[in-house]
Amino acid sequence: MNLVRKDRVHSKGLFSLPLLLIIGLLGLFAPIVMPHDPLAVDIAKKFLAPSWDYPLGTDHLGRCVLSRLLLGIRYSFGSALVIQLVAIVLALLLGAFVALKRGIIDFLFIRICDILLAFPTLVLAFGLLGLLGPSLKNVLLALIFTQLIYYSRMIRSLFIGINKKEFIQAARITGTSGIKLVIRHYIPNLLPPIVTIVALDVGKVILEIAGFSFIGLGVQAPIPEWGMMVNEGKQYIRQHPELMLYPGLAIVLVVLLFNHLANNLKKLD
Amino acid sequence: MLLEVKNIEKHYGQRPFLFKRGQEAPVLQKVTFSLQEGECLGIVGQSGSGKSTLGRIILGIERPTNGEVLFQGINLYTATSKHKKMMRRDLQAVFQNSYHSFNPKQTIFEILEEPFLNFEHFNKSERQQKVRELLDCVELESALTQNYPSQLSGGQQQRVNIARALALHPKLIVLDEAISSLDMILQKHIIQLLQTLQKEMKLAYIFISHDLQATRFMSDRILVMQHGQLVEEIGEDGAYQHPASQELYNAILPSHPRERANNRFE
Ligand SMILES: Nc1ncnc2c1ncn2[C@@H]1O[C@H](COP(=O)(O)OP(=O)(O)OP(=O)(O)O)[C@@H](O)[C@H]1O
Ligand SMILES: [Mg+2]
Repeated sequence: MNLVRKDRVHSKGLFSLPLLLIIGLLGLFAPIVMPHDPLAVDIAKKFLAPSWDYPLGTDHLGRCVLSRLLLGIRYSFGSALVIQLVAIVLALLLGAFVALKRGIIDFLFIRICDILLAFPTLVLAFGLLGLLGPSLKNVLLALIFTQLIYYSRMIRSLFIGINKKEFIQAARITGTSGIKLVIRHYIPNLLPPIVTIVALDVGKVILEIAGFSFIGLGVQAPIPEWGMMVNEGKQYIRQHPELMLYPGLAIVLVVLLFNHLANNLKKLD
Repeated sequence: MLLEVKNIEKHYGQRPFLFKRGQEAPVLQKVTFSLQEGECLGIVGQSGSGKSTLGRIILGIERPTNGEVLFQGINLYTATSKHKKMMRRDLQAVFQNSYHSFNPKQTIFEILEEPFLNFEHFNKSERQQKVRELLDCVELESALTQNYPSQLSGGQQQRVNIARALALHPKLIVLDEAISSLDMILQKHIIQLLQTLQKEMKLAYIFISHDLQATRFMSDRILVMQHGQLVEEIGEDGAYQHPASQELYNAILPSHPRERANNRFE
């Protein structure tokens, strides 16, 4: 009886998952669902009010705002997912490797991580972007790198925490070793906390991508990344505040959905 | 000789690399003994005397600070990985804390099929058959296979542990308080089972316990430990001299009222 009730609460708590899926699909099929070319400039049509033709109006260059938001899903939401996935896969390999090897490799790994983690991730990413130059690719690289440090350090600790557990010793005695040990015993026990933290951080990464674009270090015009759109809209904040509002709301919505998802994933374990 | 333990010492409180701290008092000192095939050796001692630590060292999962462990003549801690894999098959264990010996995300079936996955090339239905046989052996119902360890009682968990240790017909099983948590009837069953297997398969046991009575029943010889040292070996005749053995014997609660009267916790 208890179990059934618990499940019901959880499935209610997971409503953010289908919503996020829909947003993801919209981004994937953006070229099909977009009413207009999001990059087509037409000064004659600038600052149009919402209409059937332009559901959210047009911006200062006469580009369709809705189309830009839809294509922007790829750059904001899509890049964040790519960053998180690449970072966590690399972190799993690296973290598991040092945790199982220990010794001097582990020692050096910890020191280097601790030095890098002493900087706030944003500052670290700033430095990297300054070195590499502003572009979408470099934003991805910089954020993958900062996430990777943080995650591999975390996964190493999680692995070492489990290392000491008796069931790992029991499994070794049973003859399980190497990669089988990792797959059968470490991963199933680590997956819930890892999935939760990765989902939680997607929101953070979206905000960071947007932040970089906003200050001009990230995605460059005319790519319709949401942070970029907020940046472009800010010149017209008095006359047309909605140009900042739409992409701003899109960011808030996706970040909230991810945080909600993460919180409920945490409860599922 | 099946097992030779030579001059084992163990200290805790050392970091493996850099910043070595000062050594703490040794948990094991100069432990030396050996074991024949098919023999049953008891190890008794008070709590904290280092029995479990010795057990883990014998099993090859905790490196001793000094000394060596030879299993069938091969040093456990310097063996090639091929040898190690072979030894893993012959050297099994049942631990003190049954629940913690299970991966909480595995079902009983997954737990019990693991040894077969590692060493045999059975297909799924053969493994199911084997798992059923194992459960039968420790008197558990095969309906339990889809349960998780947390859904079993302590005694059931311990029997699953014993079943897992028996799966590959090892040459030596280290039983660390393996049956202390079972009820008396079951203890007797398991002891009988272990003894039958011992005869049939020339299985050797190291039976670690603070329960001197059960140990005496099971073992050919008993080693008494105190503060990390072996202080006495009690043979078939049951004669002992050392005060530590004396203390353990005194601690056996007399069962007969008459004895109780003149043996009240002096
Ligand atoms: N991982 C460890 N780190 C530090 N000290 C340890 C560790 N494991 C055991 N010890 C110490 O070693 C000593 C012996 O412990 P051990 O578990 O071998 O005792 P035991 O004889 O099995 O006791 P019991 O009968 O209660 O199970 C104890 O004093 C304990 O504090
Ligand atoms: Mg113990």
